[in-house]
Amino acid sequence: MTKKQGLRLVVFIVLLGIVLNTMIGVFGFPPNDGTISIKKRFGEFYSGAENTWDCVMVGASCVDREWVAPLAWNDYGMAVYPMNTARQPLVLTTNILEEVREKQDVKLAVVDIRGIQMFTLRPEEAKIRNLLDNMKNSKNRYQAVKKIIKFYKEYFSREDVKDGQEMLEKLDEASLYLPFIKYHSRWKTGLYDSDFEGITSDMKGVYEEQAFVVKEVEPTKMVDETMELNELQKSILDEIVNYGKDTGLEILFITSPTHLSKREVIETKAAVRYLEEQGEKVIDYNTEEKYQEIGIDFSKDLYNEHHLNSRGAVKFTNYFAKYLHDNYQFEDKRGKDEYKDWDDAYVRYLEFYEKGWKDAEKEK
Amino acid sequence: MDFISATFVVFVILLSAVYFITPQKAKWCILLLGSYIFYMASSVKLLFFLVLTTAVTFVCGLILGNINEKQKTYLKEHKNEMTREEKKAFKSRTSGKKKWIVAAAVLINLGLLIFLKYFNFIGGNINSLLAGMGIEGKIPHLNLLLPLGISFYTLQSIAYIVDLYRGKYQADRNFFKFSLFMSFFPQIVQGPIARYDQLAHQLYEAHKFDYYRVTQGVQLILWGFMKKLILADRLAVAVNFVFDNPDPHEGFVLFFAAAGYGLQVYADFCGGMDVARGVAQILGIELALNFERPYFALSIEEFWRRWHITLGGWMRDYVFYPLSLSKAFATLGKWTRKIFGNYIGKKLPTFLSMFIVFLLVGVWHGSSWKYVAYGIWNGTIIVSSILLEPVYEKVLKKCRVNTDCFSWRFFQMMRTFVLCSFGRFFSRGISCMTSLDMMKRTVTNFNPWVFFDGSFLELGLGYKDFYVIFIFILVLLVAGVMQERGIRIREKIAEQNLYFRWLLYIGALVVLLIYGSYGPEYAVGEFIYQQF
Repeated sequence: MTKKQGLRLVVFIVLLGIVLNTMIGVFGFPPNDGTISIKKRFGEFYSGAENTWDCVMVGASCVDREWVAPLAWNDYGMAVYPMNTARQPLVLTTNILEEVREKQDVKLAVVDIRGIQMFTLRPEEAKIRNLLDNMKNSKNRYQAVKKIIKFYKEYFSREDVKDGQEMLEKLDEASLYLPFIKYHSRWKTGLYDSDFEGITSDMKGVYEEQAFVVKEVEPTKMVDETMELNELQKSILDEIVNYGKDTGLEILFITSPTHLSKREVIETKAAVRYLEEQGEKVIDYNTEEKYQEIGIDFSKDLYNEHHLNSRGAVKFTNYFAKYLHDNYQFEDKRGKDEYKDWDDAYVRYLEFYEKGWKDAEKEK
Repeated sequence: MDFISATFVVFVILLSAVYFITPQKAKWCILLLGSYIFYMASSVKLLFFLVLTTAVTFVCGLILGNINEKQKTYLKEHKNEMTREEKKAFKSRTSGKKKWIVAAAVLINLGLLIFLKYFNFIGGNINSLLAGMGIEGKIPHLNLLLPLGISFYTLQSIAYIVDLYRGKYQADRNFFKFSLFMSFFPQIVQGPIARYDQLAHQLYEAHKFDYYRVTQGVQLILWGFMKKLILADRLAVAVNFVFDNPDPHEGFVLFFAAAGYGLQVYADFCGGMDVARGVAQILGIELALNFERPYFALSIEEFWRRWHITLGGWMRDYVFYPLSLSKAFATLGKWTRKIFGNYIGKKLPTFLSMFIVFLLVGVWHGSSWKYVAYGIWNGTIIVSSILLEPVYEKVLKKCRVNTDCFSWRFFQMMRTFVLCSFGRFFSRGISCMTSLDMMKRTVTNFNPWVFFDGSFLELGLGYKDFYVIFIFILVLLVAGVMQERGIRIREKIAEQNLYFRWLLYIGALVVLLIYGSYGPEYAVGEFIYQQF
């Protein structure tokens, strides 16, 4: 090969790399009705300013349904961002925290532990992809994929999992490492403008889709029955606790307020008890007392059995933001130039909230 | 290790890199090592059979080579002392010895293939036959695994032995080099079936890095992947949908499935060949061409000259000629000439040999009656078309049909396509009887409305998939027409501006990655001929 040929080859490879990288970016996680909030939230995280957050909230779908970051910002000047994904696998909590800490020097991580129930621990493709396919390629993402594959195999190899073999056969490892393998056929369903332009949340991760739906839900019934977490559940919680200790990140465990079934109450309480025994800070918001303090009205504040609507979210945010303000010394950053987008987010949220309920009233 | 895998791509890149930096004399060792790594990565348990066939062929070849050498030396030394008759007698004596060696090698190698591939089929049929006579058949069904590429390397070994018997070339005296000839990784999976005199010297020679040649090889690989992933595996969705449950389908849908399977096999096999030839070309080795645009054929006979050329060539040299020129067939010809006249008597040995060849080609594909039927189908069409050729000519003359125009050639092409497609009912159908039933329902249920009522969109493919299929077939057609006109496409591309070339290469790769049928939403199949 001559020098000229070598140089040409290098230029060609660079060009090819640019084209392929663009293509892989376009054919990514689809921003459709069910996933647009996640896509926006992660888009905002990656494109936003560095080291501006005070705290991050992680967990499953209940987190962004209950937390309105612009409200807390407006009231206390604290930047608390939800980095949850629908049915976020709790086993990947440390990876998402690691991802956040690469960009944001957060002092506190609020971890919702409702995902500790055996039923929700079950690794499913959609759950995994909601998180992993929205993460940028990095060593951390690679490790997260490796971890979830290992967990997936271990989980479905358990004797008490009935469809284990079938699920093991379904696992497509390659497309978890390189999501393009899965999404390249999105040309069939059509691409969106946001696939080409990118998308960010202009309300700091506020949930938008069903925020103005009301469903009357039966209040959670408290039970005296108790149980012990199994070794798998304990190991997942231990990993998060140890991560906090190793990195110096303060972790606050919570159970988000919602309707819980009998089984869910028992399992969630077991997790709370286990963490308390380890000396961890845990707040269980699924008690009669907390429901009353927050002001949760099960006939008006939920849009389905497991999620608060925007009215419930406002109540929880007011309550929890005050708790954070009273217990953690986050600097009031209101008025600072680099936080202008937080002010804008608050204005947009007010419009969004008012218009949303007006439209919902009209539809009635 | 599958051709369609990231592992294979990485393997080829690494092997090529190591090959080109290795000193000249040891380059073939890298190919041997690479070929065995490739084979072990695919089928480590069944490596034994490859080594056994290689060893048997090598030893028998060595003995044949020695006999040839001795015979040659003896005749040279005694050139002036021996009469013509004595020389003939001497040759006949040595030929007798050689025949035993050939028989032993063929018996062992072919025996292995027959045992592993056909034992259960033969045993099952004998048991059924005995059961029909009220006797309990006791031939057991064995769980036999078919070693990767056995149908290909066995034929390669037989060709080597027979060629040595015929004194075509000298025997290979280096076991390891010969092992490379038998196991060269790009062609062991599904051919092309190589001839020793065409391939071996290329493998043993040291090839330097050649930028132009490497880019040509990469282009061929890319083209092969496109055929396999964009067309073959996409068509497979609809084809499998119909063939796996043919009962709800009728008429044109069934024909579409059969014709689609034909195209699928073409894109799959030809694509696989392009990948194999492209990889070999990177390393400086030219593998034999296995396809020459078979769907441009004007008759089934021509189709088979353009389809799987190396198998056809093998059958011609090692089955057809030995049979048709044998004493037994000559006697048969004489005998039939007396009864049926000159024309039949003259043609019968050829027809019979041809029929046997197609029967063997059918059976070579697999151990099932449907493959026997597939062979009979092709053999019957070819033999009858040659037999009836004088009749056709008379009819055409009487009807004043102009046969020297595009429309007639197009008609012939379409006729061949339809006949070939009907034959595919046998090769893809679940069983012989199902295939016959599908054929019957194709011709007895005329349902042209399926083209308009969305029936084709219920076969597992959306309309966008059909667009992709249609466009890619058009691309293949244009490329085929260019090649038929003697245009060497890759060389033509190489003559173009750098910007155009890069645009084409990058565009092709992007099209492959986006429109290729791979990933969790598709069940990417292994290459069809890999199973044979």
